Amino acid sequence: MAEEVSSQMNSLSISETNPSSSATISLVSGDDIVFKVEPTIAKEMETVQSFIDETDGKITTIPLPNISSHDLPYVIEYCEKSIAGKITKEFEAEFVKKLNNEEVKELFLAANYLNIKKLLDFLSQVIADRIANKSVEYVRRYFGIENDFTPEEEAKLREELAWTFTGVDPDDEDEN
Amino acid sequence: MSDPPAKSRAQPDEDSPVSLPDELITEVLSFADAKTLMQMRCVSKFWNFIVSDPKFVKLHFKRSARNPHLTLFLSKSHLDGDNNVVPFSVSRLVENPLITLPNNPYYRLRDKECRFVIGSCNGWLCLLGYSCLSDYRQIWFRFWNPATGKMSQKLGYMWDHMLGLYTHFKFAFGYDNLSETYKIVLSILDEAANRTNSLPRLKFNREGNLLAVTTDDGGFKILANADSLKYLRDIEAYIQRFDANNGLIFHPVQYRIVTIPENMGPDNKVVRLRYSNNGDALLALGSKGIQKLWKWIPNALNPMGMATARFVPKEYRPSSGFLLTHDVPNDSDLAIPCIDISRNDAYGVSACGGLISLFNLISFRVMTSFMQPPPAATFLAFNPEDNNTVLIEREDSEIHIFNIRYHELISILKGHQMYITGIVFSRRLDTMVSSSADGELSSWCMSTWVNKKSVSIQIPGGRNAVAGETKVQFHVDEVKLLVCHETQIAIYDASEMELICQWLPRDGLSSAITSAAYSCNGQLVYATFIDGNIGIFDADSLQLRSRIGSSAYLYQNPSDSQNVYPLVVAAHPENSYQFAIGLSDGYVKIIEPTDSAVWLGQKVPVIWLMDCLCFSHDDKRTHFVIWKMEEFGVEESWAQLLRISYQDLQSVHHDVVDLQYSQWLPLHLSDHANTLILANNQERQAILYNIRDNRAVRTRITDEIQWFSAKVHIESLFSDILEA
Repeated sequence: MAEEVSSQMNSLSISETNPSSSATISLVSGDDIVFKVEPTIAKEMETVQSFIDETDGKITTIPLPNISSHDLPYVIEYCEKSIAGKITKEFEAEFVKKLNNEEVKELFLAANYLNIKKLLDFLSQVIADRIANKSVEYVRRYFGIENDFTPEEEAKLREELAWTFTGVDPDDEDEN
Repeated sequence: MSDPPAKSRAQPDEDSPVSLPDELITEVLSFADAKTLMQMRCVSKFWNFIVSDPKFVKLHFKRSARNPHLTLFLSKSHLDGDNNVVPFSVSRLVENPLITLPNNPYYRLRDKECRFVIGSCNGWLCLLGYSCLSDYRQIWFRFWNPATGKMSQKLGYMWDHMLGLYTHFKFAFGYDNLSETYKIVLSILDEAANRTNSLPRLKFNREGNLLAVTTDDGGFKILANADSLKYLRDIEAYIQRFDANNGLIFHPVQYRIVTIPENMGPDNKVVRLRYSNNGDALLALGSKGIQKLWKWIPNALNPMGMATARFVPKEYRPSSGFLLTHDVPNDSDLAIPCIDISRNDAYGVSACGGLISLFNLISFRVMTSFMQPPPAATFLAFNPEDNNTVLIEREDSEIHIFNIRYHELISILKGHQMYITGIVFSRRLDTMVSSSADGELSSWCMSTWVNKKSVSIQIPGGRNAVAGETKVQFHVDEVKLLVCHETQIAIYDASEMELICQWLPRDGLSSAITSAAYSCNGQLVYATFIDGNIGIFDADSLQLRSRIGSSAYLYQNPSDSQNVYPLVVAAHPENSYQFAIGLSDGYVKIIEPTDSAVWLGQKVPVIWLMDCLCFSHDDKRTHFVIWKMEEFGVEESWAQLLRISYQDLQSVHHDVVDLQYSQWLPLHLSDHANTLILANNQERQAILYNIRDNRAVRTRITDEIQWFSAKVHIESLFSDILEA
């Protein structure tokens, strides 16, 4: 980690002397870790790219206070694959296998903050798949949503929708 | 359990999960399947609200299109003996074709009365059912959204006293964006036409706003935004008989065309055209009595030197130096050129208002000339039984049977009122048929030369056709007789001289017909028109299969006041798809479709695949081909989408021959264009064909599914039909 911080210093000095477009971009996570990426990767992240554009490419170190050093490598990995045109079903399956529910949501927020449309759509689908066939209680817990129905209202709605509650998975408490 | 090992990050608070803002929850939910969304209405008031919010419903429908379903119709399901409708996800079917259809009531409609799924649009299925009341049937429609479980009342009652609901009626269901109404379109087979298999196929596209119809003359008709349809207000079914007043889109066929460089000379129309009987030469006779013969020089690609549009033929000039020219009387415009070739391709007989010449086709030496006019010959034919006998039709409307070897008149046949314009023989029926310029057809016994029957060709309304050159040609079966008159193409049964079917100029082909010919296999009819169009027809039904506009074969200067058009068409004697035309400017052209287009003459289904209008057909019994209209409404944008070998579609149950001669219907092409789902009438299962590795697998579903009626269905939460 100390090494990465020092490389941040290096990159800062380089970027000040050589603001050419071919220089790498440094992304600084909320917990102050620097990730050097190719400018093409930055292009995938609309938020980052508009920041670069606004300063005419003079500033190549971009602070991303909302994104942790845990999530950023995932984002970068996805963007690299996306540029290489290597986003396959297999890659996506491997990619999400590594992520638990909380991490998926954090990554989803990161993708939203960085405005990466493809990743956002992909993670939306991942989350949607993860709540498919789950109980209402599970989904409430998953999203941290408070039930604002009165018990009568909820009972009535559940009765009306009883025909759709077929094949619901038993809640898996370990999963969260 | 799905946690990755060695997590370096500390959870801020194990008990409070990351929460997402409402707009991101909305985003996530738009990707969820409809069933989950219905259940999740119970999560909170916001979630309950969002699922019925019109903006969300639209967004969800858009996303839902990525996961299409097929509506599977089970006639008398083994579960309950009722008719069942089950929408089933295409991606699940492709992932694992060995499935048991879900038995739970979600997504399974059980309805004894529901007989048919007409279509799917905006997540609504349009169902058709009927109840029988003595001789009549009461037909109703019902709209069902499987995702929300909403079902409309029975609507659109109609009475049906016809016998075949599915053979006489064809329905389609769609949505008109302009009027924001749902429509059911019904086409009724016109019983007067009384043709089998000519029922139009109707297909709405995915948005339901474009309707493709196969017309009874073989084109596709597109009813875009359906101005010609009456609006379906308050979901009432309107019945519409189609008439062909909208743009016609024809099947794409690419042609190879060669123009023979030598023409017949100025002001010299090509009036007669004959292939040699073995197909290696073409003989043309011009209106000024000039006659030309072309042959193809054999080469590596054409070793037999057969007539082809791939190579330019050479004009044949014998070493003797003779030219084939006729003495034409001064009033040459009135002279009627006529020509025939003996069966062994050795002799020709021709005339052009003057003496009749019998000549050698190799040396062009005139062997004999006879019959000084008047009256001049109007038609010449070798007797197929005897090369030495020529039938000479004369302008005094007599037919002379003449033995050329002994210069002996064998018989004179009288009966026609006007001069003879055509004569053909059927040895099978022992019949000769002659046609005259007044539209009269006469059949004669070939052995006794006795007149058997005479009929006049008819135009609608029971009247006789106006006078005009009437040409005849026998089908290869020597029973069906093709009759061509400027007002019509007709097919007669020559044994009784009865009309079988008739085609009258209309739509894009509305001008006078100049000539028509059967293809050598008898499956197609080629016809030329005075406006320069060429029509290619199915020979059984006279349905139009393809049209070639004059722009395809003429490089005509628009300012050129003199319109060039084909006067005569001749079909190659061995290649069913090749024909030659003789033009009014004296040129001859040979036309044949390129190899990819030898599907003419098939009845093809139209389909929408990946939002493009497509149609499929068999190609030479080896491949199954799908064409796609890349840009909607642009005829030039037809492109071949897929070409699948029957070998690749083979299964353990069916050999290639079964598949070659069976009926195929593409149902769906998955959006990554990886998998094509096909129905086949020899198969109880659907076939999933992987385009990447050319592998076919069959579904394994125990229920008996009517795959031919499966419709692509997109889940939606729309409830608009009920609100209407």
